[in-house]
Amino acid sequence: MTTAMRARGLHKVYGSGNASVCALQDVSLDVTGGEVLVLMGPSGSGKTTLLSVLAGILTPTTGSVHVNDTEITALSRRDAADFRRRHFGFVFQGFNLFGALSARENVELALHLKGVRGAAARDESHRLLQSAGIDHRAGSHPRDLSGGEKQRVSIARALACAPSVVFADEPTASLDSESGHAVIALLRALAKERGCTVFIVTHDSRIADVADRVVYLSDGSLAEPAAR
Amino acid sequence: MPSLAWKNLIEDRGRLAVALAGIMFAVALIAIQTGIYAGFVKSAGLLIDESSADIWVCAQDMRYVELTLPIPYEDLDKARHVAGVESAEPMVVRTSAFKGPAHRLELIRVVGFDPEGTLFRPGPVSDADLHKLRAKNTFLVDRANLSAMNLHGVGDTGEIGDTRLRLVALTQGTQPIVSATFIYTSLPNERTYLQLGPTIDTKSFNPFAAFFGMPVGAFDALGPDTSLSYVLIRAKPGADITTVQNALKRALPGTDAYTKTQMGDVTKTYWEKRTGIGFILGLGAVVGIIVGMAVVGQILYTSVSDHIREYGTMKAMGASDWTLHKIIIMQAVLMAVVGFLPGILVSEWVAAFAMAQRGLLVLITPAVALQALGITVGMCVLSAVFAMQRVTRVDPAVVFKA
Ligand SMILES: Nc1ncnc2c1ncn2[C@@H]1O[C@H](COP(=O)(O)OP(=O)(O)OP(=O)(O)O)[C@@H](O)[C@H]1O
Ligand SMILES: [Mg+2]
Repeated sequence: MTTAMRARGLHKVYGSGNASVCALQDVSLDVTGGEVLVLMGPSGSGKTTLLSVLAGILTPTTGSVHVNDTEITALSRRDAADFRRRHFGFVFQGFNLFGALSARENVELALHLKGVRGAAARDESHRLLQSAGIDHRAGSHPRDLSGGEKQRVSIARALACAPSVVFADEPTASLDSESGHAVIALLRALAKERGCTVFIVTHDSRIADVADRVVYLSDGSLAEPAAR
Repeated sequence: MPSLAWKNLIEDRGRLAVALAGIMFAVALIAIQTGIYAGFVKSAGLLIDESSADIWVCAQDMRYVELTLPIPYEDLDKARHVAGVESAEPMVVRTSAFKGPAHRLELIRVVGFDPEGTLFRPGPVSDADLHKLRAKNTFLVDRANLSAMNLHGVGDTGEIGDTRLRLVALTQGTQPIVSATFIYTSLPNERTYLQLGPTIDTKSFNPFAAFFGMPVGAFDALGPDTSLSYVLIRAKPGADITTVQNALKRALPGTDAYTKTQMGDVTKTYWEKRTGIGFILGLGAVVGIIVGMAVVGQILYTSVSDHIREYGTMKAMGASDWTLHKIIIMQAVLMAVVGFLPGILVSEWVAAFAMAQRGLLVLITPAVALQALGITVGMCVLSAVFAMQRVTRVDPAVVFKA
């Protein structure tokens, strides 16, 4: 398997002077293409920071990230956004669905961003919702969906156009453990079907069993990659 | 993403209603002010519009259609013999005073013309009504002027000097907003009135002084029997108007000749400068635009702030600033269009009301409406800049904060 993502010597310091916080310290990591990687660690250990850096949303203080041979840490803000648009999908703890849009329209919006429009977007959003097992609620708005249902819609959205990497920050934290587990299993299954790499940040040790690999972060440093 | 723009907009109905009310207000102010301006300009040139003459021959001192010096009556005949002239008709425009029932005085402009002619017709009047003007001591006025002249309708009488004259027909839509009251009469009648009536020496006449009650009394010393204000010219079919115009200037020394368009422009420009109306009405429209921008800007900014997490999410997903700006611009344009319709309806209603109540022409033509729409869209988009800046500043990293 090829390396989908390669991080080298990442440091991230927030703020400056006395108020500065060192959130990442010399983090290096390789993620294999198609792998489901789970990142665990205590609160404040820098998990979200690492995810944001790997996803090209946050610029590290030093260090580099390569995704499919592109050094995304060297891209301008605009180019990084364009790279995310073409290669990444996201699942959030708070779902971050668009309240004014139905489930189907939420997925269509992502497709639209990626350049799929009109009838093609309608068909594709239907297929995505169907594979996420939520097509029967396609016309519902997020406010009328349960947490688990909302997260299924977000997964359908994140998988629009089969991105190379799906990033998920605490995707189960707002769900009860049963639906949380179901949602993660779904994410894994759909990602495997499409050959997407998945990077999940979680507190929840019960979802570690869906991972191909689990890595631990503490105080901004990676602990030795633990075997499953 | 038009549907997101629209759906975010209608999500909060109360806020949308406020925005639309603001836009409506702005649209109405813009359209009404522009309409008053257009109506004013149009009304200033009504007398010219009512004529189908190609060319107006007049004294070189002519300031605007109502203020000119006499030219000799012979010019009418001379003009008829100029190459390219199909027909020529006389017209006289003079100022006088009308004494209506109960001795109420009114400053008037007497328009004398040839009721049998084809080059001037005072508004929508029938041939039969025009024919009545051939009778001695008769006149015709605009319906909108009846109350100003203390008249009730056809058959009423009034005086100019010692001549008692009778109202024989009515017309409408012919009275300029800022002019003295127009009365129309046939040329022989016009001469009778002006021979007998107190009129004002056109050389020193100031219409505004007259409005404020300065004495009118200087007898027209210029012998109206021998003078005209205008010779209206129709060119032969196919003749080049400019060539005919120049031929007339050469053939009639001491006169000038204007095409219909030039005559209209001279008159409209005179009134625009004289009253500064463009500035005054422009000021009103600007107030509307400022209020509209404040309301729309505020509403768009609040809407973006409410949805800031969604905009951040789109940024995380890789949307460019421009993609997000397009959503906001789309919202601004949608609001402009949706607010425009009721706004223009209100304006049309106000225009109809002004016409019905005061005979005031507020001209909301398709061109005026289109211009108001353009200004409104521009106003809304411009007021979206703060909302757009807000979106530009959003850090996509916020989406991972719980
Ligand atoms: N924008 C910021 N400015 C300053 N400090 C920050 C900022 N974001 C995070 N930090 C700090 O960096 C450290 C790592 O934060 P991060 O959010 O990455 O941790 P985390 O592992 O995701 O925690 P949690 O499990 O609570 O989400 C924390 O000490 C946090 O206070
Ligand atoms: Mg976190």
